[in-house]
Amino acid sequence: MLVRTKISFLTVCILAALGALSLFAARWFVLGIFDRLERESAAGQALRAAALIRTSAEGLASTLGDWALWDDSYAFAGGERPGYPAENLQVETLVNLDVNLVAFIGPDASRVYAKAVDLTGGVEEPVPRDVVELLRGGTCDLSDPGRASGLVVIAGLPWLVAVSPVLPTGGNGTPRGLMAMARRIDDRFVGTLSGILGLPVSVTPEEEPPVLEPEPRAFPERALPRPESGEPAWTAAEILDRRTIAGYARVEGYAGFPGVRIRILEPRTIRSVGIRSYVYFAAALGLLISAAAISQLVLFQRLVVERIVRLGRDLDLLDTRDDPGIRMTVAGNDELSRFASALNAALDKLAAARSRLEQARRGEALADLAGGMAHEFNNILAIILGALESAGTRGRTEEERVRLLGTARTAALRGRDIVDQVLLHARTARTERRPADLPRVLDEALEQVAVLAKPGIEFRRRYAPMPPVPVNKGLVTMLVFNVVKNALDAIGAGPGTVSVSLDPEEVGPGTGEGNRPPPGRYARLSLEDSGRGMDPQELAHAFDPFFTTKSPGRGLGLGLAVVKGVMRQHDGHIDVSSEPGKGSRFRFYFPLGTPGGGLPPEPEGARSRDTPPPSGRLLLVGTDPALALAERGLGMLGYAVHRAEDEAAASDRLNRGVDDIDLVIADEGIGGVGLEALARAARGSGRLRFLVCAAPGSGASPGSGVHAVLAKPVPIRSLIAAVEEALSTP
Amino acid sequence: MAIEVLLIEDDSTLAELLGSALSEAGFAVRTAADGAEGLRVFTERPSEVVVTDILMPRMEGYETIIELKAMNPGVRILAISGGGVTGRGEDILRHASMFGAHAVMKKPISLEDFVSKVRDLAARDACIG
Repeated sequence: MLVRTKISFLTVCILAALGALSLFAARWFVLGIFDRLERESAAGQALRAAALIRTSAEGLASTLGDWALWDDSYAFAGGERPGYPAENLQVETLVNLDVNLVAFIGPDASRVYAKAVDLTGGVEEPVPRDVVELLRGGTCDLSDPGRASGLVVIAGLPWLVAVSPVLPTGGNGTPRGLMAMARRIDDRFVGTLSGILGLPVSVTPEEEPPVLEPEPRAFPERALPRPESGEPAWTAAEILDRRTIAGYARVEGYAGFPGVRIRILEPRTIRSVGIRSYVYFAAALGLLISAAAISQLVLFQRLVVERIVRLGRDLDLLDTRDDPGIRMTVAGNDELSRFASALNAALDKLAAARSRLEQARRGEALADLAGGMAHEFNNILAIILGALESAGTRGRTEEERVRLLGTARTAALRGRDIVDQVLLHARTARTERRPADLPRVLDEALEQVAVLAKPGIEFRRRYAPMPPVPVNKGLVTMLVFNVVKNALDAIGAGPGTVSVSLDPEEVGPGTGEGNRPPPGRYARLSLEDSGRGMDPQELAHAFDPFFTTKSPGRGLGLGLAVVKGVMRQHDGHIDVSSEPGKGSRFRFYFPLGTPGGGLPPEPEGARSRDTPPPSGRLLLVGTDPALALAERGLGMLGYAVHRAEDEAAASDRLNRGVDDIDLVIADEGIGGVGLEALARAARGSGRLRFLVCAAPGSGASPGSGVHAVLAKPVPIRSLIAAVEEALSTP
Repeated sequence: MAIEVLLIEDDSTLAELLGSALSEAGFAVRTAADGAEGLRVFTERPSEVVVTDILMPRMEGYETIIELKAMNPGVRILAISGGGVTGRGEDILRHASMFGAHAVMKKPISLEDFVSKVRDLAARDACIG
């Protein structure tokens, strides 16, 4: 599974779990709060109903007070005004007063006057005897003549009652009994209550005063309005169904009488607000968590995954394109970029090691070449020295001197030819191999060497059909030249043949026939001569630089040592067989194709002597006066040369892209930051090359975007070579 | 009056050999050991022909040729070089002509060829450059 998938999966799981936990906690917490609010509200409404009942009782007591402390009432209670009831206690009056019952009770409770009305119908009704009896029955003790009011339940019906001693207006005198008023808590009363509260109310009389115990779901007392003295001792709330909650409150009966229980029904609006709040909260939480998850994943994608993918791509590139200049490009300053830097440092070291190895290989080839050359030159110098010394001896005739000087001149001219040949090889001795038409290369080489052949020597050629072979044409030419020249020397004056053949050969594993190349597909070049051959001793040393079978003055050219170097450069293989008197046979195995796949074919004529005029767009950056001369010189050679004073101007030019610059040459005077920026640009473009001119020992070094560092002062000649080299590097 | 040749060559033996050959051929010869000295000598008094080596210390032949042509477009220049260092003898002399050398010769050179080449250059119409 991809890291990205794993992390995404884990992130989603963790966030989902967190979300679920949060939702659960929120449900418990938020809905809990609203539940409590709802219960408090319901209980509060029940309390309000209870308070209203109490207020009604007080209102009744107050009304009664006006009547009981009135001279007319006092007179009636004393039996003085028989017309009092007819005058004052009419049905309408009682209806207006909103009382069901008015009663006078004599001081000895013997004489009772009572009148009752039905408030709904507005007609007189039978006096409820039980109420009057209750009032007579010592409830209103005249020895404690205070006004009193309260709620009583009589015969299953709740009443509000008020009693007061009857006194003259002003309240001074001997009470003449009690006056009482009563109001039945009937449907009308309850209806009024409901109207005031806006909620359905029901009032249920208690048979007996309940034993008050806090209900399990009762609310903390502090959350409720404290009941005033004599007021309900408990309240409660009960959820009836999804829409309704009931609130309960109790109104205590007067003086130990049973009281009533009030129930109000409230719609559960608070709860629905709570649920809405919860849904909003959940939605917000969901959004938040989704946003967190997405941003987390995006951040992870950008900060880690993309960069790792990029690293991987760079590494792939390193694998597929065998370019030592490829580096990891992970920006930033964190573990990943430090990892990339470490990798880059390792790659730098690897590139340096590779370059050293390459140089060492080239060095070996050079050593072969130098060995051959030294040998040749020593021979030539011996001839020249000998001739000159001999010419300088006294007693030589003029004729002898001219002959000796002529010998020295001939030897010197041969030396010049050798140098020419070395230079030609050096010129072509690049290690690049490109698919080439090998028969054609062979023909060209043979043409060069054939001029050395004496009459009577026959060249036989046989080339099997052959796909393009990855070779370095210059090196192969050198190889053929040297081997064939040896063959011609071995044949000497006599008639003889030089056979050249080219065949494909597949070397299988385990074809253990002595000196065979490793398994693989090869182009086998065979060069055979009918010369004098070599004995085993000579054969064993054939490829040593200083070894020759020929007499002084008939040198090997650059010799078989060079041939060995050429085959090493081609990762090829040499097989020689020779017998004295029977000639020699050289077999050269050139590997067909490389693991890296197809090499680009060499452009026609690109390596010919007529080098095409240079083409390339150069940008010189810096203010060093030497750059001005370089600008002129490179311009004269045909390069399009642009100048920029500093890195900013150069970057601007590069970014505009109008000039399509191929190569930037910067003087170290523009500063390390500028050089680094240009190196970065070169790294980034993949096509742009970058050279730095720096004083020796300045610490600048190639690698990581910098193609090469040229030691200042840089002669134009070195600059040209560096430019050509840089531009020719693919 | 003898035609004046400025010979810029860092190898003193070769400079002496080439110089005496030119003197014998009737030229007035001044020598300098490198490009910088050559330019100084040329600034004092221009010569009709300048023979310059390419690989020299301090200032090399390319720079010398470019500067000489800038100072005096009419000067006739013969560049001589053994190639070497970069191993591209042909290229070195080819570039020399692109920078303005009228003729190039590759070392080792025969004195006879050398003198006749200088003579050719001296005979050229200065106006052609």
